[in-house]
Amino acid sequence: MPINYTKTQEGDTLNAASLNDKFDEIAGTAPDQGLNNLGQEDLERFALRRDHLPSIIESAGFPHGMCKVGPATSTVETYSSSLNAGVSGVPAAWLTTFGTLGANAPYGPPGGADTGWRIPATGGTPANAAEIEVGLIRTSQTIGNYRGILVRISISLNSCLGPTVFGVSPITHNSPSVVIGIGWEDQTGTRRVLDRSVRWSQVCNRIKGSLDTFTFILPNDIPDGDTLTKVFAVIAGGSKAEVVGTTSYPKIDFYNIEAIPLRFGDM
Amino acid sequence: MADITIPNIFIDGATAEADKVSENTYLPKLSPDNLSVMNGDLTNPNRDGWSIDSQDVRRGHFSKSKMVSATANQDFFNDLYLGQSSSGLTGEWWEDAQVIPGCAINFYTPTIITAVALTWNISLIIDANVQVKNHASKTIKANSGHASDPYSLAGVSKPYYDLGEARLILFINGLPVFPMQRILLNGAASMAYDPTAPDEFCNHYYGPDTRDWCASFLFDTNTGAQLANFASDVTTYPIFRGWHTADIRLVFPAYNEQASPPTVDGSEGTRHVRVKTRRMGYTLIR
Repeated sequence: MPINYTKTQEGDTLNAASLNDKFDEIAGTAPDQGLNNLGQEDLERFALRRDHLPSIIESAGFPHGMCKVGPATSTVETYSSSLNAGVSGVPAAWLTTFGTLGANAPYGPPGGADTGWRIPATGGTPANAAEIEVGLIRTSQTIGNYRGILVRISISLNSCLGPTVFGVSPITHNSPSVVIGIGWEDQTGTRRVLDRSVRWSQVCNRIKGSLDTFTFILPNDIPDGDTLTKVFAVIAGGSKAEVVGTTSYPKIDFYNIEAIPLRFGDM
Repeated sequence: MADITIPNIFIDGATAEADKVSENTYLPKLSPDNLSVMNGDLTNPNRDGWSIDSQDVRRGHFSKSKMVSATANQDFFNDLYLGQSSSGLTGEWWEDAQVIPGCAINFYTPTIITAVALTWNISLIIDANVQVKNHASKTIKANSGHASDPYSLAGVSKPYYDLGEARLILFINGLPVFPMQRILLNGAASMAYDPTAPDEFCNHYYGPDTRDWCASFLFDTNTGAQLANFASDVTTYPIFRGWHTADIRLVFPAYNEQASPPTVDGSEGTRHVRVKTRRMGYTLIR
């Protein structure tokens, strides 16, 4: 037992100081080893159970939790924004181009034909957005105390607003699509979407009522020293190979996003 | 508990009370502040800052998870939902929702934890009684080129069904998580048919005949605060100690809004949903 207690011997002075010292010694008031500062060697292997353990996740990194969900009741809104408005295929800087229309762009539906990603947010209110606040700095091969952040999103597709051009289009690979993805924001407010999280769902043959995707944000996704301040979902219309004039605009109601930081090794 | 602060400090000249000496050494308390903490009340703050590694921790005490699944077909018919409003799912419609066995799980949360992560996937197919109509009707929808015909979710010029939408919704501890509902069957026209023209069986190979929902949901304290029906009673949170349930439920109304008056007897509308493979799992995060 490494918690050493010095017994009172015959002839020792018994006064307030000697009593207090004995108690402090067991409690472990510095520099004594005691119950307040148990060393690893004080415990047998596999001795720690759930009551002894800290949370894996430090709340300071996720000040408002790890999940955002909304709205409470179905509120269908049209996200009339195209990734490649006026451009054939995927335009340059498409991963960093966000919509500019609306009071709180790029949050919520733009209210008119817009270009770039939109962040789902009922009523265009940032507080409602499919976005989670994070406060983790990338240092070497960690983000905060984590090796990465697993982010998953799900969006309920109500329907698609069809093209205004009449006539039946052939089903081809360049048919109008709904595009979703996951993005992040740094300490300067710069937003970007992670390419590998992007999913294209063709209106013609692939769309399902739920649009889901996920990604694992790695330290290498964030420049060393930068802060991961937010993660968010994005949505837009688009076409892979054609110039989009009047694309198919997604109409969505519910959405949710969650972020789970993952550790490896000891803590 | 936090670090021990010995409750009684002795002062020279004051009377030494035996009770205070005893309280310093051993006196069980609801919030222990003396050396009695060594009898089962040691917690993380008592650790002297060293890194916890795998050899220190008992298995399963940082996290716990389990999964259930099923593959046998399971059929739900619209007589489960007779009487749903002619205007669709209204009122407390979620009370009619039926748990899907194989996509339902219960679990024990041993102590207050940070979060519960739920994941699931489910495949379904719909059989609906529909008629071949187009833009003036609400039974079959297809992009015929008419301005009022929207893109069909089943495909351009492929009919889809928008009557009596079937809906899936996540329940936790018997309470609906409203934002986690999806209308997945809208567009599954491949099994739809017109009873007046049975030869026109709408078995479109190019349209999706099965709908899948593969999703996840994470519940932490802040999640509960965002959901009104949970926030009013935090004991419903699955992150607190006790047994909890999570399940996906199915509901679809047996009505036809095209009829006059609309029918709610199940003779028309979505009639049958077959649940195929399904799975649900949970992970507790300390």
